[in-house]
Amino acid sequence: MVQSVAASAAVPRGMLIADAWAQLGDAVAPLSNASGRPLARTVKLILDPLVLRPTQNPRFAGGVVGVEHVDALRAAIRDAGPALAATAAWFQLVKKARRRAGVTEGHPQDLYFQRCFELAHLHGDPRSAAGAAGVAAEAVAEVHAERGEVTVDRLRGFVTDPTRAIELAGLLRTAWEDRAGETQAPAPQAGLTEFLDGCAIKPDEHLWKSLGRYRVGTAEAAGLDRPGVAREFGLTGRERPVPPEIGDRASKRQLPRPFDRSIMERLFAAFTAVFQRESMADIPSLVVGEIHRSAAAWQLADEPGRVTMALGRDASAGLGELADNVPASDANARLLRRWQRESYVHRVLRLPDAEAPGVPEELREDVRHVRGAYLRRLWARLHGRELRGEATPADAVWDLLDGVLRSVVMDQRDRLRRVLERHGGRA
Amino acid sequence: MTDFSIERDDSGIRVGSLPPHPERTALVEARGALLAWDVLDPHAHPAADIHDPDLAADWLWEIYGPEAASAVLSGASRIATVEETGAEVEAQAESGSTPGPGSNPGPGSGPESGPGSEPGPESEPGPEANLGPGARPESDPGPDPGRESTTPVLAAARALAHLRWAEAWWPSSHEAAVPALSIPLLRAEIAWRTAGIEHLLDDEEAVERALNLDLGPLTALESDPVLGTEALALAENLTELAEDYGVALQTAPARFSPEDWALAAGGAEAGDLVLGGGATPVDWALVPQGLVDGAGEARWTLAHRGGVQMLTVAVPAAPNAVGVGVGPTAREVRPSTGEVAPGTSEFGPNTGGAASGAGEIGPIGFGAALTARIGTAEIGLHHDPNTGFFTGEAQAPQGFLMLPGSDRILRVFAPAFAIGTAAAEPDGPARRAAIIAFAQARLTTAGASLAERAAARGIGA
Repeated sequence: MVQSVAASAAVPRGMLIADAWAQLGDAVAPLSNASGRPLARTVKLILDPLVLRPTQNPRFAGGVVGVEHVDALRAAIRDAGPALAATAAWFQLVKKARRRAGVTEGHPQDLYFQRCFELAHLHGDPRSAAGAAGVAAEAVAEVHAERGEVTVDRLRGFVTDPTRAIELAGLLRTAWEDRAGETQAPAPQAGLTEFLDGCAIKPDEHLWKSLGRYRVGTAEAAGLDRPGVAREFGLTGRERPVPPEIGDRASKRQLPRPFDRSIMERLFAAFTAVFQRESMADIPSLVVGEIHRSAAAWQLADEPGRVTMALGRDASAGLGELADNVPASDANARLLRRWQRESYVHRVLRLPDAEAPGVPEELREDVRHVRGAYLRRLWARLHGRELRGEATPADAVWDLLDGVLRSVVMDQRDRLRRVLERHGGRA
Repeated sequence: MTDFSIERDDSGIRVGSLPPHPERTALVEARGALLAWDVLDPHAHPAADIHDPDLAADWLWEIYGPEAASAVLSGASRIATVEETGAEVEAQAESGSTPGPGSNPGPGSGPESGPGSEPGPESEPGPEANLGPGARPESDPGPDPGRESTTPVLAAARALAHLRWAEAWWPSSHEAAVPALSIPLLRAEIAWRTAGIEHLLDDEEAVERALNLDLGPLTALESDPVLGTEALALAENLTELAEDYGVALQTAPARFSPEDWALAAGGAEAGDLVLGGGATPVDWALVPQGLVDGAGEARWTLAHRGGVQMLTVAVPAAPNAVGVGVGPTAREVRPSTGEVAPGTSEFGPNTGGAASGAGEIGPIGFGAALTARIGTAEIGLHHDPNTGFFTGEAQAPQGFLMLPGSDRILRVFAPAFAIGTAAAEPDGPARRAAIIAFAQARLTTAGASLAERAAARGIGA
């Protein structure tokens, strides 16, 4: 097969991987889908970061691989064969242990794929490792215990403790008073557009770092306090942002807009929406951190997140507007095209028209003002990343910007389908 | 052999042309491209709208074959794809219990390395497909468009696209004898096909999303003498899949109901003096799938009653139409599909208490399932389970009969679905007839989906 395309200078990476993967046979079936291809998460969590490592091996990066590197890529996967087979066997074992322990929370692939690869390197194939079942049970227990640490109940207990309430309220007031005194520098010549032009294809690592270093994200937040600006972006329902409450309750349904959420609601949303709580700090520092975060630029703590908000704001310009806007950057053009595509897909899938009289007002508004829904979700993602201490490298930015719009679109589809389920039809 | 012209511009690459109408389009949203099959076209390969060639390069070879994919990405102005009739590949790809990856043909089984490359006999899914399920053995690749595909990935992608099409456009109809499909069965198959090509889908959570389904009806099908084995295999696959993705499957008790083919006329009542009337076909773009009879016409009647002129509108409901206040009332136990307790409500708490009278059940805080517009009148239509019609009436606007005929065109739409202002398309009836004929043929196609074959055996909705 490879010979047949050898005449061209490059071969699709997916084809090489599929071919090399097929050579590994049944041993890697637990990491494969029903068509025998490596699962999307096998590629994302194991093959890319742990076997092929395109950041260190640029020859293995991109959609196509130069014909002179074809053998090296195949060899890399072939050489990892035993480790991958052992990883697959560990995954089976860990799933069994998880079932036995009655754990149903979380995505097993996300939770255990990399852990299983680790186990494969530590212990080899579980079928020949002594006490493998015990090791697997331990791995499940570890992940489970870490996740149990920070619970919503403990959070509620902490923020509603009367002796703390005064202290926390004081912290919040001070944080926001300091903020009022802060004079915002005018936005420097940003480089945001330049980054957006390249981020989908060839993200500029250097430019990304300099955007952070010059605090472009912080500077770009200056306008948010002007009347109506943050509301226009969908981040608040108010004329301008006000200090949040500490709050004592939260529900997953009907969370207010990000800047209108209480401290309790902000942390609650991150707890329930995001797994991997193991990487979160303990409750008191989470709450104090959140209070400070709420008073910061974009109500985020870290500069990369603020830069990403500014990028998202620019990349989503014109989204949902009827006017045929000229895109300001490549990323902007791509997001606008995704939204256009959605209206085609919408008709093909015979989804309800959001403007139909039976569609609830709130949903209709979300579809009309998709840019607001987009920026809200982007903020929530960035907020979650901060809480987990997850770094955002240059090459993760486009996935984030694009993935957020996809997620908003899919969510709107689900909500429109539910309208039909309630009001008739067979959605 | 299929020829595709290739067009390029700043926004991407187009391979062939997308199907002309939504109701003919079977779609897969892949990473970097939309793939679209025309359900009325038997060819195995889809048209594509590639918006991100870099992303699409990863998997495009699995759809068109390595050579054609490479040509698409490197500037060719047209490509030709080869369709094989490899019976072995097909038999595996079509089975509900797709074998493990080890026994799959690897990517090396692309067209150029396959056993022979003569294109299969192409034929429309026309009358010759009406042979009945027994007429063609399972292993015969036959002239069925669903079985021409070459690689398992292409076959799975096409199957998924078809299932999604059926979910959106299946024209269930009493009048055209197209039974309703079981949506839970369709969704079960969708989940399995989604998992088969998750590596090339745009949505990273496609499998998790698709697994949000009710396994009950599939489990109930396990006792069916013809489809039981397949249903069992699919249920097992889905259970395992759910575990791999950390999704808790729902299993509500099965609730198959017998098709209710009873029909009664709606319209004027005895004793009315009928002054006029008319009928218009219902535009599918204005109603959701499965609500209105796919071949049905909306009828209006103007009659004198008690000194006033009353406008009455009646629209036939689809078989097993589901909706608030819509649905069969009588139950019986079907031995092959599990037990259904007589008199249980299928539709949860909303259906019971909201009734304000026979045929006037409407969603709480919301109007009728359908709205009819004619002249200046707007009439809410409610489902009447006794007649199988959506009906409603209102006093006719002043001077209704004096209106020119063009202002007395009846339009029906679902207010939870459409605005209802779109103009009727003149080719609508012919387009709908073609889809209905396609659906009728699918019911007797050996390679059809489980839901289609179940519907053909009277197991629907």
